[in-house]
Amino acid sequence: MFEKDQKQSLTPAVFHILLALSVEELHGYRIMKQVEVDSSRKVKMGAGTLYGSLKRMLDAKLVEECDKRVDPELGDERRIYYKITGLGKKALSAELERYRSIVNLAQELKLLPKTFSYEK
Amino acid sequence: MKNENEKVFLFYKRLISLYPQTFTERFGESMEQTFNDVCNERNGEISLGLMVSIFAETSVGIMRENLHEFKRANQMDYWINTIGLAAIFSGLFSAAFFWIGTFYLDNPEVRTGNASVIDVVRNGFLMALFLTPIVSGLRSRESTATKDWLVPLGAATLFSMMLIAPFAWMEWSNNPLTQTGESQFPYPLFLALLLLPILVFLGTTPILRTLITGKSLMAYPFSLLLRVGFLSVLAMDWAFLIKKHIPMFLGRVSGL
Repeated sequence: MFEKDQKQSLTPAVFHILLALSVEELHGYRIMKQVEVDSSRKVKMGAGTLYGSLKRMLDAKLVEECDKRVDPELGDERRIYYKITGLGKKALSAELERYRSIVNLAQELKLLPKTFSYEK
Repeated sequence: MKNENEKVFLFYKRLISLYPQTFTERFGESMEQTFNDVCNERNGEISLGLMVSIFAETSVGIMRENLHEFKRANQMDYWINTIGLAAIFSGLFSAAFFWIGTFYLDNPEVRTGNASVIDVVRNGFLMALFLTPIVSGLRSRESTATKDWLVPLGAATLFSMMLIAPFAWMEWSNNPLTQTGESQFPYPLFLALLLLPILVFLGTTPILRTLITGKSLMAYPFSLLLRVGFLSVLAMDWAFLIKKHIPMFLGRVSGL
């Protein structure tokens, strides 16, 4: 579903999960927390949404499972970690490029002030 | 407080089991760990609001994943085809009875054209409702030998006959109108009372087979829900018919 047409935009949940995993491998709970931080608490994801999205992303090979390991800050239970794949990075880049085009268009239409430091 | 949290955790664990089996096997443990982490970040104090929001969000996830699995496993096609077949059979039966009523029985309503199309369609719909579980049961045995479904059919008929025998005996011995020949033995009623348990028995057979072979009933929860829903309607209809005619079986016929 995702690789078939990269012109298709990602859902907010998938986008934020890819964004969270773009920095480091994380397990489910850490992904939830990172998404909250990245979105300034505007996006709050429950376990149902998170694992439903992860299932579809695993099927679409945007992310993959890593070995189970312990998160020292959360006790000694072994947890499944996830990492972004090459295809996931491409999908994330395509989505960010889409957002950049929209922001540029909004700036041309004077709907948004110029926000990027390299812009005149 | 600790006991309360354990109860909540157990309830959440049971809730997760409503996901499709493949999903639970893959993510069940992780979901439990995540739930624990969310609770622990609040020092083990789970507020009512948090509980409601987690359970509501998980319930939505359950419906979404089951619908996704339902479509993926072609269960949607299976049920559309099953209901379609039942509708075709019921349409043929309705047409046959209508034709018999028109040309072979003295049915003034049919002859004068007063039998409404809506009644025929409604009866066809009800018949399709009754036939769907039996068609589904037969379709699930497509690859087995004829004797493999004749045995359950025979068992279902025997069971049903034993179930209605006391009421038939009560009707025969208590109803003075039947004894004096003033009214016929209510064969259509007892035919319905005989058929309904047969349909329930045959509709339940795939569920029993799943349990006997050790497979999980929750592998296809939506199919199970539809099947149980249909069978419940049939069972309630049977119970309603019995309740409605109990005075007659006990000999309390109006006018006497």
